[in-house]
Amino acid sequence: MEFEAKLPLSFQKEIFEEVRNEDGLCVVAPGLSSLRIVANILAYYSVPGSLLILLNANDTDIEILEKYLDELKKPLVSVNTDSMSVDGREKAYKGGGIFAVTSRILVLDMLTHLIPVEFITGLVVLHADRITATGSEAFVLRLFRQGNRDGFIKAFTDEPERLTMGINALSGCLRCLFLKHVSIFPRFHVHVAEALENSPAAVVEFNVEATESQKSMQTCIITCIESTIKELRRINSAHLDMEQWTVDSLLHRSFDIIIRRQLDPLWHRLSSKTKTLVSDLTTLRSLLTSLISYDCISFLKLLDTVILSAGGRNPMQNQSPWLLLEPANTLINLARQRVYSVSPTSPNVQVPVLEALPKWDILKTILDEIKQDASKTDVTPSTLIMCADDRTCFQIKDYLLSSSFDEDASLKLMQRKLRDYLDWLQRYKKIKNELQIKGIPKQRLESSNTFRKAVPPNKRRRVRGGSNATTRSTTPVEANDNIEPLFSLINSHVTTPETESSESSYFNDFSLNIKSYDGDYDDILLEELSPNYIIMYDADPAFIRRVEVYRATHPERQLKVYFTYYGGTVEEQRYLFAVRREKDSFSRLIRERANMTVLLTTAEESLTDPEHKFLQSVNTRIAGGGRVSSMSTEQPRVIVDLREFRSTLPSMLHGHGFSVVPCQLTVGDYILSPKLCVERKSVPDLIQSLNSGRLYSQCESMQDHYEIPILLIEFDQNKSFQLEPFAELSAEIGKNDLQSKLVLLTLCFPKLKIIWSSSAYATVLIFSDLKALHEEPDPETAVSYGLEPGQDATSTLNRAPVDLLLGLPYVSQKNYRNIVYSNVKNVTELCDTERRNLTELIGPECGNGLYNFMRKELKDV
Amino acid sequence: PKLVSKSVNHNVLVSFRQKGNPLLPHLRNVPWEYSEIVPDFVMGAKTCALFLSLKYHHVHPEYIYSRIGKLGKAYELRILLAVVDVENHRESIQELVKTSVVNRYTLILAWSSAEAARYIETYKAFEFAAPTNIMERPSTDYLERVQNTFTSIRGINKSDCLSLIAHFGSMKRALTATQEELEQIDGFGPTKVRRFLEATHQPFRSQK
Repeated sequence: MEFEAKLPLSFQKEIFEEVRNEDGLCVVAPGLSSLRIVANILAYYSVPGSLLILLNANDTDIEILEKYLDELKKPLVSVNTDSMSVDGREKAYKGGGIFAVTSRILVLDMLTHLIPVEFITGLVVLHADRITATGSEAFVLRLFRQGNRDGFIKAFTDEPERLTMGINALSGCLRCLFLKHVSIFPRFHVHVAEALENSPAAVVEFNVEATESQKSMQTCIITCIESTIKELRRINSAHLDMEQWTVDSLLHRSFDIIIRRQLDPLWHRLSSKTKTLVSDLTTLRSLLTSLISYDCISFLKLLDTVILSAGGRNPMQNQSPWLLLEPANTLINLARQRVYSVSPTSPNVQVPVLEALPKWDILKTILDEIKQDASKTDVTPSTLIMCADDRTCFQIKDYLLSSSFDEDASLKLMQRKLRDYLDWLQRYKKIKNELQIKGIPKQRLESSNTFRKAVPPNKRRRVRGGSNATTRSTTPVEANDNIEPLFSLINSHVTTPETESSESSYFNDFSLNIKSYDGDYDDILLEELSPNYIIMYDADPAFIRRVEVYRATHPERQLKVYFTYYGGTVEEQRYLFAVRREKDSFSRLIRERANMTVLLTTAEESLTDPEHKFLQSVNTRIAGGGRVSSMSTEQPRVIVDLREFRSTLPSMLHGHGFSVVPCQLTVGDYILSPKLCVERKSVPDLIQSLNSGRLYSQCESMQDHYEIPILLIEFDQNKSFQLEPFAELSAEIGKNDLQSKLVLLTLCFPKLKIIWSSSAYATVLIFSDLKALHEEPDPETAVSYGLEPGQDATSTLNRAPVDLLLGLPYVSQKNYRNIVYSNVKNVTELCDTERRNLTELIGPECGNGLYNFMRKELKDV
Repeated sequence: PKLVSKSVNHNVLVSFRQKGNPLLPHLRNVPWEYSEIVPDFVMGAKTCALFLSLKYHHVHPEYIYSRIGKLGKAYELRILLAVVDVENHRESIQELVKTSVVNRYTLILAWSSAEAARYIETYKAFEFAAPTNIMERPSTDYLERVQNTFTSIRGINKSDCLSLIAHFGSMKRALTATQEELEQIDGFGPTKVRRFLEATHQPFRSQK
């Protein structure tokens, strides 16, 4: 077998050789086109009769690999429920080839023997860092190793950071993958550096200064973040470890996610105030990012919406405390003043200010320079502008289009946006009034002020810079009320837009492309466009790597790179932090690999996590060569609903020696015997489904078909085994407490039994206890329960659209199947369905209600 | 004697055996009295409870079985109210789950005497309550309905709901929105747009 790898650079060939020669986990720095190597590995093994599985690839990966594999003349087949039926899948697997399969589907296909596990040549796993012991990828790998001991497993990742988080993350990951060998290729690897630094591209950096108002607003937001964190720490001192945090680290870390992770083990026991504070952090962080990327009007719009929804309408819901801070007031005022302000001549008139983003001007300067530069040669230069997201792309495109026919480009653009904003404000006021009618009385807002305790009004903190002080404002921040004067000004100041002439636009002088960063897809983009000039409008470390690779691959092409960033802002710090973090992670990984032999041998004894231990014990049994495939008849059987394969329980059940039969169930989640039917609820699910009434309907149908209906309340392994703390309960019996609803449920369904389980692991043991006393369940009967004639159980329901359907008013657990099994295909079609058809499907009352709800105009509310 | 039986309906009956149970001082919201009954608590004509502290259970594992044996299948709803007052509870809870399913008891776990008392109170208070509070009932408020609909899409929060309805003006226009339209909305990144489109455009079911 002769195979010539299509890899242009020497280090890429080196990685390819290493992966081919030995099964292992390959950690590559982002941007070094690891997918190209994956494609070559797949092509290398793809010979007639071979069956290769690509696991854990996302849509983008698949699209890129299809392209690369096409060059290598090997087709890639992608399998998800939408594209291929069960029969089609079976046939395709038999024919062999390269398949990218969603892991949840692969689990099902392996369990139902649709795919011949023993004939699989090998598995290639992408994003290996994301694999956890209890996830479905690990389940696939276990099923694979059980039925096939000779096939290869090769894993890739380009996120070294994730392998250094937590204790023994690397060795844990390797155990799930059944791998021992690790190869590491950071950017600072000698061969990588050699290849890339041979012919460096010309780079021009622009340190753009943010406007004064942007800087002040950033300070305001950071002050709000600090106070929120301080408050969070005050009321949760026992669970939060944030002592080592500095203001700097706040800027670039995903601190909201870190805090959420720390609080997660007791999330269902936290007070609603704490939850409000945590979600505030996410909001504030997104404001921090939008501040430098959104134009001033879009930012104000975002801020208006945030303030409105954070204000709290339900008396049970807390108002976000940061809104009551002085900096929040300053923030909204500054945000407004960037858009319009009181006219200096007459105080009752407001005039547009419309501050432009500083980067716009720089961008124009760069483009003019390129134009001049290019005029020396006679070819049209190919220029590529890269931004963080599509939104910024639109913004720049808009800006460049308007700049062609007017000197004052940004003003033209912003005036158009201002007009849209004023239209929007009218709808916004509508919602606001609606909310205020039912909202909380004012005093209540004031008295719920959380920060009063934290910072007494008379004890002002001494800080540099006036806007920095964390004093309480006298009134809560109010959303924009006084906008009428603005309407009058719009007619006088803002002219109607001219039809855009395309005569002298930048798009004509240049071959100009504006794109957003899109991971590995950027490699293909660079190859296709082969740009002479690249403007990195936003920073992205991986993209710099890609440019380096592109440059090294084509050293003969002319290339100049411009790079703009706002100095001294979150943007710059985030960029520097990302670069440093990647380097640190690689150094740690290399150290950890050196100690690996010790880790792998001692890890088994030192494992404290029972879930891990549990799955591990299964693994050793398989490694011992136990013949597991011959026990199909004696194995205890559990019928499991397809949707449940997103949870860890089916994988654990299988690991414990149950025969797991995947079926699409209408009634129940797990069927243990002809009498025992279990509906599984995690604690958040339990709360949600008791509120929505869904659990009531589910219990109803379980009771109709099974003698012993069971509600399984499953706590998370890592979370506390306790419902809300009692201190949260009031002195009187509450109607809406979780416990009260549980009481009501058991009163309604006296036959309903409850399983309390501290983890999925505990559930498995309880299931085997219960099953010991009963007969085996029959899949066909279980599937038929709850279905009306004509509704066939063989088609698979898709989760996202069905959940949305159930979220609509007038659609209930009882009638949603009438829609799902009708010829209405999806939610968009449901919107266009005639009144007559809807009433036929779900009855006159619900049908009319739904029809009217869809068509109700916000302005008529 | 007739008067007595009438007052029984309003009170929680407590067995003399429960004297000294630390949950009794917490029984404040409903009246209670001692009575000669087989179970430990009677919260209604059809509802009774056996009380068990896991600490006690660890010392006297046979106790609860003798109580279950005596009570048998009397009362329609039999609660086994267990207080989790020990650290290593997994095995005993596993055992109690099995016992309760086999003997048709409904197991309720509480983590303190106060919480256990609240369960007893609530069973009494809700003796004749209608289940409307836990049944599916459409909300009547337009914006609440809008929120309920949109938040059933993963990753869409309440402020996104307001942005959506303010931008599109009606549910029909929002739910039939295209990718380009959604990308215009402030706060909507590529992930949110993708999830929204998946929920609105993917078919409810894929054919075999």
